[in-house]
Amino acid sequence: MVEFSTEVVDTIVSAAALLGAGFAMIAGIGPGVGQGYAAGKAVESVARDPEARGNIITTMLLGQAVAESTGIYSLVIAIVLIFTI
Amino acid sequence: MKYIDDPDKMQWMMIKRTVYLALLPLVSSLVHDRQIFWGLAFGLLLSFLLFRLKLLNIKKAVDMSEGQASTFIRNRYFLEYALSFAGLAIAYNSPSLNVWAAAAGLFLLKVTVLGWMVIDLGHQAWKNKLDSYK
Repeated sequence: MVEFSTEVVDTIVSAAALLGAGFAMIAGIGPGVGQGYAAGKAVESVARDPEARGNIITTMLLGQAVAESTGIYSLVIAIVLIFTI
Repeated sequence: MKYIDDPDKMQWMMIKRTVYLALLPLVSSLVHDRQIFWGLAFGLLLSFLLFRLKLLNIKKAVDMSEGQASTFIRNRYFLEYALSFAGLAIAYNSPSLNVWAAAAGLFLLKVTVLGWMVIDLGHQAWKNKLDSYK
């Protein structure tokens, strides 16, 4: 059986943690794409019904604020992985 | 729904509700642990500023073309994401800020928005039910 020294094990753990942080950050891409799509559709809606502008902006604002949550979850995980190792 | 036509008033109302919700944890952490208090206050302040920035970006995007708005909001989201990362990294590295409290402060606004939506939905359903008996 192959035995590794403590330094090698520490390096592997650090590398795995940083890799994990990188993978966790991928979750931040989804909300960005979704918010962009929603903004495009909001522009289309405002062009169709300019009187509903305030309503559309408010709905989009609240929707985007909630949609961002998953990105921040991944951010917290990444921060913990990066700084605790 | 109150103030649905006025995004500025709605945003101000959401911020006020978040502050009311955060009042108990803020006061209890002020008594118990100053590090948690400052972390929570820092996270809340960051979330309010990002929320305000989001509204300004959306107002600007609505006047663009569809493709431009989509790209603009996507790019601004990544900037906001980077700002959140910077805020959490600062909270982690600062000895006077608790990183978990800062993260909780960032999430509190989202919890308020979701909770308020659920309450409003329940209120609307109850009102419709009462109206159906008239």
